[in-house]
Amino acid sequence: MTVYHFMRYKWWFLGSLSAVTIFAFVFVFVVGLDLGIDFKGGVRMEISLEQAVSVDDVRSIVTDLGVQEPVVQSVTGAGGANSFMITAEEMSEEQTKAVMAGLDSAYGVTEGSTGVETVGGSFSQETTNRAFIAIAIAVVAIVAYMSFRFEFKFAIPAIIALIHDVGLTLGIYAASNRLVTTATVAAILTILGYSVHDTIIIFDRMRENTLLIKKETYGDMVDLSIRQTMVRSINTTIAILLPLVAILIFGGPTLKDFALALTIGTVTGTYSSFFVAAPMVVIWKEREPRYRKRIAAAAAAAGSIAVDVSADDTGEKKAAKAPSGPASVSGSGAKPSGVSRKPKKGKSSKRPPGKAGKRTSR
Amino acid sequence: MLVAILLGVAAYFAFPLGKTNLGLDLQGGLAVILEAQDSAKAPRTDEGMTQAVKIIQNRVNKLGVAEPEIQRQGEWKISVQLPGIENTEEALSIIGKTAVLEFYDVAAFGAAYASEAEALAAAGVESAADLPVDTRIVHWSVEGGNVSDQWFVLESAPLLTGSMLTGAQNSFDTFNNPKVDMQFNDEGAQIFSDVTRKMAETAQITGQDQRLAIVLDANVESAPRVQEQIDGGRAEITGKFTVDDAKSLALVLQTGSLPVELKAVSQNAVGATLGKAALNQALIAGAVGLLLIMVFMIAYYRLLGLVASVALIIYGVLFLGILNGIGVTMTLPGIAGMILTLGMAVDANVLIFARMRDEVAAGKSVVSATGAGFRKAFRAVFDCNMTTILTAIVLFWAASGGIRGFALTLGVGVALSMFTAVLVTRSMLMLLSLWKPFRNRKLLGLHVPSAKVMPPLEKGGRS
Repeated sequence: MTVYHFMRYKWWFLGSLSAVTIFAFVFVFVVGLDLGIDFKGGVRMEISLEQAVSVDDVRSIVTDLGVQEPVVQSVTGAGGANSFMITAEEMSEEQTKAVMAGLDSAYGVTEGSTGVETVGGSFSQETTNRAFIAIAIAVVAIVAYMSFRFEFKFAIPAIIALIHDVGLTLGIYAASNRLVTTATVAAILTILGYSVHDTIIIFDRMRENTLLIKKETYGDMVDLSIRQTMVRSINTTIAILLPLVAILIFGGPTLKDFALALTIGTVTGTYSSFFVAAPMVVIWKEREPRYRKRIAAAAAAAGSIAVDVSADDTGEKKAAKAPSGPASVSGSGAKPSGVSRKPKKGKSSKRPPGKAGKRTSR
Repeated sequence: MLVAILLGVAAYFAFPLGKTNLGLDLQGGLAVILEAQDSAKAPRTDEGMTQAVKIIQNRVNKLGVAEPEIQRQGEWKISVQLPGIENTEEALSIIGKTAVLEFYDVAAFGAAYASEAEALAAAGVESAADLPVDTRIVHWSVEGGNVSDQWFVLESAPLLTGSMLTGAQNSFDTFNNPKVDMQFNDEGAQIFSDVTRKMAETAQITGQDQRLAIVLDANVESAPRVQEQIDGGRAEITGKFTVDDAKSLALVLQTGSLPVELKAVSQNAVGATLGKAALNQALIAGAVGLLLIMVFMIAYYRLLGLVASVALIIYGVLFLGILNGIGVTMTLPGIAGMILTLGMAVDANVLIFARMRDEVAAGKSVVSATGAGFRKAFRAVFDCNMTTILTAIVLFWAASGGIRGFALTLGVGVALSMFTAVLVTRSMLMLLSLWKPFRNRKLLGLHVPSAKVMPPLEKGGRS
């Protein structure tokens, strides 16, 4: 089994994904999220028409009746393709009735196919507050649980990976102008709980492998753990994506809303475990004296010029990133990357052969 | 064996599926959340809320709705769910109607104002909520040639209120106009008799008409002339209403006026067809999702995948059984939660099977790899599911309405899936291990090309 040495490039991953996350947050704050009526108050109307019409036709009927800035979306509703979701912040009962009557006379409304949801301002404010509180509590609960089951140094990276997942999900919502509803918030909370799955799978293996390693650097151990669990992480992700895809294809508007946010969150949750959570643990853990020593030892064993390993932190991280010898643990294959290979100095195949020295010493 | 019994019990609960309670979003109907308004006039009280729930229940029962659900939500909210209601406006107007019925002597009305704002200014307050107790502003459309709207500031307590009523019915007057007849209780009858006697006397002395204003929700409905003392505690409201108006007014008066002023803060009306379509879409999505997962599992893990698929079906039946058994109302988000847990349920199996592969690769026999696989994977499975259960709990606490259903199915489903994916699969594999093909790694999907054999921890030989 080929071990991919992700941890050597941990700063690259962290850097680029941080950039992505920051970019996503910029989108969220600059472009802004389109909050649905659940958070701002307003009226959401779902209606199926008997004749084929375009979104613009429906919108013009609605605006002609004096409704300000309605959002009209085409959805797969009761009447198949000719269903529309009309959302407006302010739409009085009379206007609601007028819209229905107007659409009925123009295109024919399918009997019993309408749904009208009205949310008042004070109620929506409460919903918003609750959503924030719920997310905060969920984060604290996960940190507490992870600290309890693993250690604090595992919990924080897991949460940072979650920030990436949720940030990216929200960023995509902001960029694509999708309405954020309570279903979206529920999906985000579920992402919080679910995205940790893959992180836990890796961490669990790391927890186990930590006891077995003696001389390997922490980074190499994590690489091994990732490789060992990668297939199952991807498989669990597929297992969860399959029903989500089914919902995205066959579900109605409410279900689709759930599924879309969850799909984004699940995908990001998988790679963020490899490329955000794990590298952060490595960085943090390698500050511990025992792992520091290993890096130094590995570097020394490689006969490199890594003299300043203990000098400063950056030095260590660079060292950790430095390529290790071929087939650090498995003793089998070649590495994909064309990093420099130092002659083996290890004593047995059970141990990773010496670490290659730093390529750069700054 | 245990599994078989459980399955039997669950199947009993799960079928017929027709017994499942469907939420409003799936069968159509009206859901409203009413919030009590706090004002000096009508301060909201805990007692008032309890009473209001009872009164609404009463009103809804008289509307003839099958299986309505009226619940207090939080401190000042009442959630009303009326399945199958088509005319939402009518239902809403009856549920939320405060119907504060008051009787005033028109002589106490004082100066008339042309708008509510002027009346408020005259009373020295900015909004109706700031009015002192026993001061209210009433609206009166006086008919005389052309209709003119007038507002009055009343500073005395009403002579009589709707709380002294014992009954109300709609009927027709001699001109066949709809009206509402009312009966007072003893106290009310006594007061009504006194009031009408005094007014009749005044009318005789002054020679001017004395009128008794019947005020409903700060609107003067009618102001009949009082010509004589009325005994027996009977009165009637004639006004400008339709038969339906009269009916609903009689109903509201009969069930008593709400002790708190309620305002609809959120409402959701779903047409029957819409609900049905949503249900069908959800069921199709669920079935396809289930199928896709099974195909994937079998393709990747072969016989093991088949075992996982059977466990998944067992999970589905148990889950439905539990939900039906505890009488959960199925909503659309709830079904979303269920579909989602299908994926999460096989999650555990993926982890376990991957571990088994590790063990087989390390050179263990299939049977001992099974045991070790389950043992080693359990910790990760448990931790994974715990975080999801934790968030489901948080969501359940924070959310209201349909999202709550999602949190419930998610939490229960994940907990249950841990049971089926671990225990049920394990017992199935134990049974299967007696069967010869079970030792065939290829069939089991445990075949690892020997060149790639890389036990989890070859170096672990030291441990």
